[in-house]
Amino acid sequence: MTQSVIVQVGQCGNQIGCRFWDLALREHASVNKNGIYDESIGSFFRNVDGRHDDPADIPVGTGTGKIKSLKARAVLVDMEEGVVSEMMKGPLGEVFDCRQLLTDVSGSGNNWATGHHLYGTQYKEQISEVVRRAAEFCDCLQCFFVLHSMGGGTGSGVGTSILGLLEDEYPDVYRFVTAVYPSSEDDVITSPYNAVLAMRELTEHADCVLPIENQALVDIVNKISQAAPPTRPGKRVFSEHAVKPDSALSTGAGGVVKDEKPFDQMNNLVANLLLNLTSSARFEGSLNVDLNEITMNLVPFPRMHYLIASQTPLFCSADVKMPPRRLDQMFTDAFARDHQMVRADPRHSVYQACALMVRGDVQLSDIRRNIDRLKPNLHFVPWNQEGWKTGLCSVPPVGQPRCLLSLANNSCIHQTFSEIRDRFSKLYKRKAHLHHYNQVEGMDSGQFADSLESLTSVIEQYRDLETAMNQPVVAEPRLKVFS
Amino acid sequence: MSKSNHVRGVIELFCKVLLENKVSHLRAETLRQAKFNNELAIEPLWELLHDIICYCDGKSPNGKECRVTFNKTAAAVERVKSQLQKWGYLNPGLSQLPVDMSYGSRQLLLAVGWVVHSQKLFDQVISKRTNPLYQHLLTFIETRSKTPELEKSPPESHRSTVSSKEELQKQLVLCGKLQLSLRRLFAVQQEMAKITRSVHMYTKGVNLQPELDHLTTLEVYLLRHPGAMKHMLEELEQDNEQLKHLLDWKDKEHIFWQWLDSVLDLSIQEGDPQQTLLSLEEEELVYLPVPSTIGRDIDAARTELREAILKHEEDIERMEQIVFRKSQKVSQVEREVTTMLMDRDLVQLSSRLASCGIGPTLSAGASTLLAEESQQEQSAEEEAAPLSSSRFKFQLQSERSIKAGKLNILTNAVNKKTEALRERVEDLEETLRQMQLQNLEQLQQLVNQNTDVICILPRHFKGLLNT
Amino acid sequence: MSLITLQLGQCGNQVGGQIFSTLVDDIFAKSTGLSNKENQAYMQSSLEKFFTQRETAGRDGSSSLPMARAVLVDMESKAISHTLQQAKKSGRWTYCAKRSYHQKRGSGNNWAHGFCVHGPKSHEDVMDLVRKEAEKCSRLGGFVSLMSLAGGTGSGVGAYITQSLRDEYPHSFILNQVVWPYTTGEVIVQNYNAVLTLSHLYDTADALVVMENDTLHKICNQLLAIKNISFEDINRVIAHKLTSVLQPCVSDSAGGGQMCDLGSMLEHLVPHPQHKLLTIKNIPQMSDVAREFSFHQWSGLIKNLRQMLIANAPMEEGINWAIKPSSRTASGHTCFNRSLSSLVVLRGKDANSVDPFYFTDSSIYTPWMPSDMTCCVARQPRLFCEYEKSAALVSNSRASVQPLNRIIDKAWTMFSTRAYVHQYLKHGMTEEDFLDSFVSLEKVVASYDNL
Repeated sequence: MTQSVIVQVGQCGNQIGCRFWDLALREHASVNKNGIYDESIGSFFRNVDGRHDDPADIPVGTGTGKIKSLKARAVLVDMEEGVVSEMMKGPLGEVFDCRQLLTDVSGSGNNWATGHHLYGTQYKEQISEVVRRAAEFCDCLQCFFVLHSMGGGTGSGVGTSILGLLEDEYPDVYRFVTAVYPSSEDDVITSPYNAVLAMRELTEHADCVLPIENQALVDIVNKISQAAPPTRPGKRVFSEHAVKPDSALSTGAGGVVKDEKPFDQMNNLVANLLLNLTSSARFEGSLNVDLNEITMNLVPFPRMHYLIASQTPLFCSADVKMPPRRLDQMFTDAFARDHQMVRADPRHSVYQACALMVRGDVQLSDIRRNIDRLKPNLHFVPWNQEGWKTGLCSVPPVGQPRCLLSLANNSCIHQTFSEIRDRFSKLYKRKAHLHHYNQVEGMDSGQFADSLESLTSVIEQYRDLETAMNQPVVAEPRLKVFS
Repeated sequence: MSKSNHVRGVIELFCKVLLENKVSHLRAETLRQAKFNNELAIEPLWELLHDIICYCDGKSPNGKECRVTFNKTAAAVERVKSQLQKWGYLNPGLSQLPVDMSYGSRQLLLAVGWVVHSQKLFDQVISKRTNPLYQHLLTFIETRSKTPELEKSPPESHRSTVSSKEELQKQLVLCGKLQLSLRRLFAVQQEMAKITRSVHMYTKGVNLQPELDHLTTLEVYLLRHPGAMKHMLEELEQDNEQLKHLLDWKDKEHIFWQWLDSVLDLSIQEGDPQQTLLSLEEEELVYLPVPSTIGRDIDAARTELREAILKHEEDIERMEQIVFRKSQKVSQVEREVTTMLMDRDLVQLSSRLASCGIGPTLSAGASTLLAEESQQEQSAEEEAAPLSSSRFKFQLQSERSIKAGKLNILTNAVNKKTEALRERVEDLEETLRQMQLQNLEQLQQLVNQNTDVICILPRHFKGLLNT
Repeated sequence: MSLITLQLGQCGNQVGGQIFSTLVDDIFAKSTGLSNKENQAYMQSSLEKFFTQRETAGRDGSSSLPMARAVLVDMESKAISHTLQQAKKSGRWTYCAKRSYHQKRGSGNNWAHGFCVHGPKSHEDVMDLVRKEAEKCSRLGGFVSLMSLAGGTGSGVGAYITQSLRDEYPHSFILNQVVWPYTTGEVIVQNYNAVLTLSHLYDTADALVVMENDTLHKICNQLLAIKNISFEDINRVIAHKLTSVLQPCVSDSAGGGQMCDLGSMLEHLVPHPQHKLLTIKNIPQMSDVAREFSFHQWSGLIKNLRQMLIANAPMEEGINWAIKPSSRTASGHTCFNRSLSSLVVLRGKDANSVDPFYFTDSSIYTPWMPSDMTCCVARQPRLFCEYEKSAALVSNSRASVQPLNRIIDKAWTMFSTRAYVHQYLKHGMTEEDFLDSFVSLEKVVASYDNL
């Protein structure tokens, strides 16, 4: 069993991370009723003997030892203290070891250059040390999950410098990045600059990126709350589509942290995404999909590693009878625009590859049936007409009997990128706010042009796929044997 | 009379032994008929000779392997004759016998007797016998089960019009099958080896044969299958009988030879024309005809051989020339190396001499002078047309001698100088001694003048004074 | 004569577990159709072939259950531990727990990762395990490797291990059972993996038994009437097919009455070095419930089987009876499924008296094959898996090349855009390796077309 380390950078990253650990504990608590420290929980947590000052790691061994005290395999980085210290004060604080934190006081001021060049170089040694410590506790480290936002300064700047560091020091370990892209109504003016500069790093150094748009998350949360109005005390709500209380994807009920904060519901969605992504690697099933298989199958060309994620079902109806159409509905929804984490329309674009990770009570024949059903409506590249990867994990998620996570390498993502690029160009043409960036040591103005060019090339690559979609296919003739 | 009974018995024993040991079929009657030059005995005796030859050689006279049956042709008869001649039976009586087997059975009988004795037939027979207990398990089982040998019919060639491509495919198939069968055979062999080993291991300590310390697989098999044991008993009894016959023969051999003696006497008595010595031409006739072309063949072979030898000699000479030339070329490099070494030595020498203060100062240029001279010679050689080796040698020698000469001059000069130095040293020593003496005398005088001065001389000075 | 099974990758391990289960079911079956003594002989020889058995329970508490002669290899530990557990649960047989080798990290569906990285790393240890298992056999009949073509471990590590097996045991017989993935894939790069594996296996293995997931799925669906088909059902079908051929039987060929071992079967089936793909067809195949109520005649079974062969039908329903050996396409080519050679195994009541003349007919075979080498029949009067009469046909025919053709097509299309190739190059492969594989497989396809 392999282990993964979560690196949460910046305010947004840490908030998502906080929700993630909460939900992870909840999930393992529901699966692991006896409190045994086995390999699946070991992929995210260490079992330590809390009595000592520097807690020693208790290995899995025969897989029958009880949990003494869990510590998360995480690295928390923030240039402001607020979020991290609040988390440490809360009930989740016990899961973290203060040696895993790295904080500063002043923040990055929404400046990618400050984050990347100034803090990146200043704290390089310390970050490397913390990461190394976390990595050493792992028996077999398979991947790093980096959580950060693209609009801010710390998340994008420090996050991407950490990414570069991870590539240098651990070239064999996969780097999955969950990046939150700024929406157009973002209140940070320089967010396009930060996003584009960070994009270049992601294209170069990450193995796989799951872009997430805030607006999409908001839409999903709204959808859920429409279907499941919060119960008002004293009133019993009857509804045809009554929803089971803790089945919604965006709820944190049942976790350790009791008060819900703003953005929590949205962050829960992202946390669930990560849990579902790693479920097949952690739990057993008839078709296991490991994380390296995801990169292998979904990334045909090195730079086109942006995967659109979508999860279904969003909530679980309390209806006792569950006709099988619901199951199929789950599959159909996964390809609908409104369940995705990115607001882009996949139906009219070209898929290069698509992975379906199913959890829970689904049979192989159901999956195949649905694939056959959905295929005619989706466009795939001509050389990958059957570009489906399926994974089946037998452990269902908390609160739902089954769920589906679909990861698609679809060319419609270029629309999202184009929007960002347009916003960037608007600012860059007038050279607004550039002096903030150029002031920072290590930054030169050529980097803007380079990043723009890198982003443009990625957009071009995706767009070429779309243009090629409608053209007739010229197949290269096969090798012939002289007879 | 009893003697003839004995003879009859012995002759029958002779035939029985030959039969049991798979040498030849023979009827006793034939031998007796042969004594009296009976025609009926001729063919069987030729066959007997042929069989004996096969038995002794393992090959039939025409060189092919093993038991070819005698096919009663002239060629076969000639082959028998030639084989007997090879063995050393030069009796013209046999060789004169006609190939159409019309007469001469007595001669054949005598020939048989000679062959049996000279080739030690019965010794061979005895040595080829084996103990049935030592045979391999599989052969035993085969003889026991008596399965008829599967007649493998050759594979049908069903399509006469088979294209080469198809033929190729077919061959590939057969080849593949052979390979796979080989592998199976290998696997089976390995298994057999393993099992044999385990049998040997499990029966350690028990043995029926003195030189082993375990039972053989055959023995184990016999122990487990009583039916087989019976069969083995039968075989052993048979073997026993045959051995008894052989023993018997050994005892009664002398009777056989006495009988053959009588045959010989009879033939001499009857004045077989073959017994007289023949004149040379007749002798020549007697010996087997030699192919008529043999004279020509021999001459042709001889000229070929001569030509080949000449050619080789030429080749060898050419190679020697090439080697010389090569050595010349190589000696250019060698020359440079030797000049360098010589330079070094000369410089050392001159420095040593110079440190003594005298001696010719030889510079490095000396050796290059030598080199230049020899180089000129070298180029002169190369311009010339193909040269004989003797000239090469002369050239080489001359260079060497020049070098040696120059070296000689140097060494002479060095010797002279060293001698001069030695003389000088001697002179100096002499003067030193003189001066010592003078000083001592002066000292003595001084001592004598001042009486209150006591002078103690070291011992060796005392000696000096006195001399 | 013993066979050692190598279970490689997740699929291989799952199939292996199922195979041994089926074997045990068959060996200890209740209705055998034979006298006790003859059954004993059958059981003995079958146990000898696939299991090692200790007479009494060992002192260290190890059981006296039959232990499968198997080596389990996977790069992740999940599949192996699951299989070991399943075996223990059944209570009737077990694996030797020490004969498994696993790593922590999988191969990630990457053939290059399996072949170039994991293969050499695990070489020593796996060969060690194989050697230990081989020493326990008094006569090593051969190796049966179970793997799938789509994944990274089964295909990549499998190809490497087969090569090492061939190096270490050059005279042994190696049979590879490959599971062909679903056409609408399980894994996106399965075509690359399949092409690379097959080209390597062709050089080192003696024969490749092809099991297509699509076909097996159809069999489960239509014949066995299973509603929700899981991988377990498919594995059961695979196990049934393989064991119906490998269980002891007596061959008819010259020297009559010899036990048919793997070597003689292979000698008969794959003499030609370019034709190594075999398919297995079984008849009848029914669910347990239907079996009790059905009754077949040998003539019917054999006729159906032959038509299944000629028309290349995977099962006894939906056979196209119109295709005959004499049928020709418009251009005059033969359009039925011509075979190079075939092996018919008849098991059950009266098996000894059936005349398989349908199969010795030389018109269904390729013309240049000598007619006495085309068909080999093996019989076993004991019932197999409680089927009253059952027949299995192993054939080396043109049909095996169709799925191969499809896969090469798709892989080539993908390769011409160089998609995913960087993932393979990252681990030490070059584009030449890809091209070499394509070339060798094209040759195979061409030689099969010429049949």
